[in-house]
Amino acid sequence: MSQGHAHVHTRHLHGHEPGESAPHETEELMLLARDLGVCAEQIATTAGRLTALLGDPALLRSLAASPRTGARVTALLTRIIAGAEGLGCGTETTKLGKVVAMLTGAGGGESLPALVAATALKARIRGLARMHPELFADHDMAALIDAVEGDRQAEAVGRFRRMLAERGTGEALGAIAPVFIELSGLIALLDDNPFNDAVGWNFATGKPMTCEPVLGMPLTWGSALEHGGGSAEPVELTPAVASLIEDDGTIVAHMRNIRLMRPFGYALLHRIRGRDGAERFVLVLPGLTADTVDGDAAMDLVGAIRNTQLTDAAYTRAMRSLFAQAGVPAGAEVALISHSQGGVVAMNLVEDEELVERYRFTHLVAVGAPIDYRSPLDASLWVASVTNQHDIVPTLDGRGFGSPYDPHPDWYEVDYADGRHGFPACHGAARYAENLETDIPEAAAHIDRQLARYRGEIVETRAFRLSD
Amino acid sequence: MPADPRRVLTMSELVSAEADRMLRQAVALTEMPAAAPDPVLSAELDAHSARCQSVARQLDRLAEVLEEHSRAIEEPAYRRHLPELAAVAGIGAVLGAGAFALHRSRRKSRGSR
Repeated sequence: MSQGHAHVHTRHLHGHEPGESAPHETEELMLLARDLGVCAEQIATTAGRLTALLGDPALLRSLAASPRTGARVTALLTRIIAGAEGLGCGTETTKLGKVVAMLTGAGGGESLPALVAATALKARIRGLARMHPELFADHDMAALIDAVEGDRQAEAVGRFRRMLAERGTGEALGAIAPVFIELSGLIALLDDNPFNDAVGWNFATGKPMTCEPVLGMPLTWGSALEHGGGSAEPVELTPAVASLIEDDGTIVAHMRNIRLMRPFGYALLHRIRGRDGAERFVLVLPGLTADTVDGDAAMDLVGAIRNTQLTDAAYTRAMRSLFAQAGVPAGAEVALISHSQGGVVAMNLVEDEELVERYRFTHLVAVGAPIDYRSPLDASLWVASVTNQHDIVPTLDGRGFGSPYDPHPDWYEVDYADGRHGFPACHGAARYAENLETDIPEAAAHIDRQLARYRGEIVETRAFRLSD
Repeated sequence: MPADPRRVLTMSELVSAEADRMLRQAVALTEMPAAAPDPVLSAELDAHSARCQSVARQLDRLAEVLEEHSRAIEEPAYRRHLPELAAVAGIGAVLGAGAFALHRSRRKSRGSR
């Protein structure tokens, strides 16, 4: 049984079913955060243009033609960019800005656009605190937030280490999860490293994460570690395991099946005869096998990084192979039910022109998956995203549940808090199944209604082992 | 390639437009605190707005200086470099006068011996 009371709401400021809309003050603060994001971008544009002017060859040539007035121009321009009450270097828009910021220290907390973007993230944190009063009631979290907001990074690290030591990794990560994106963004914006500024900017202005927040290394570098063409090998389930597979076709049952397959890393393909007599397919995509960084399984950490950045990863290629081997006929209707990294791969499939042309993907349900910035090719695809607010994994694309930006107003999105904050426990398929059944049954019922045509007699269930 | 005064004038116009943009942001930030039910955020918005105004003023000044710079480039080379020439001439005159005075004082001292 779930402990505590589930708080459910949609990610949308204007709300839609199921659940409550955000409190009025939260809504005000989120709108303020969005306005500040726009304002910060405008100021950053100015900073970028002026920084570019400093390196403009036409201006440099003109200095020799009239050194007296040229010196005044240069002095004034430098003061505007790098002065104490100036604008900043435009690190977010120009490479020259990054270099100038490194040399002059006029980036980070000295840069006006970065400070405005930081205020946007602070407004989000306050908005989230209205929804999650425990954030500021928790003395350690309040002190941690205060240290990050004040750009006292050593103190913030010390606070977090103390939380880790006193509460354990799971509880500490779970506590920080609701504001993970905002705190990471603040650190990236306010520190002296201009190369990670893009992370803070993307978070504050509603764009996907492209580099990691500490050093600013592009995430695509990590994805280069993956190797292998990706394969799906059909496997026979033992009678004992096969007997445990739930066949009622509900989202809760699918999550339990994903949990069941987790030790083996298998994907499941159900051939269903619907109540209307038509045959359809449900492909169940598991998440990270989690225990290895870079093993044989396609669902390892390296694969996860690659999947979030590039659509052509080993796991995705393995799924193409699965479709071919399973003999799914062209034109067949397919629903994709996924958890964690499986959600990202499901998105890769519905963004693949060849597959979308061959099969009719009609439904995609992603549970605990970072899919917010993905764009399926077929706009009529019904998409549902279910996330626990204390689960960090769905925020890895850079959109936390407190984001005031909504890239897909037509998706069915639900997030909730169930009172138990431990991570990674709250990310597990078993916990999500439990939450869907107990804490957010109305969301589960809504998803089940949408999947009605995929419920009926399971004619065949095949398991596939996915590997690099 | 020679300096292009028209290009510098365009820079001045660009800077002037950026000053307007900064002023607009300053006004927008001033109007936001009404929606910020938090004293810390309100204070930050006021500070950002004041800094935007300050930057806008500095940009206006930069636009003027760029315009002046553009006119200076347009002037004939001798007029453009007049201040530098004057400075060099002044320094030359002082050095010359000094050398002449030194020379005369040495001649005098030699004559008296």
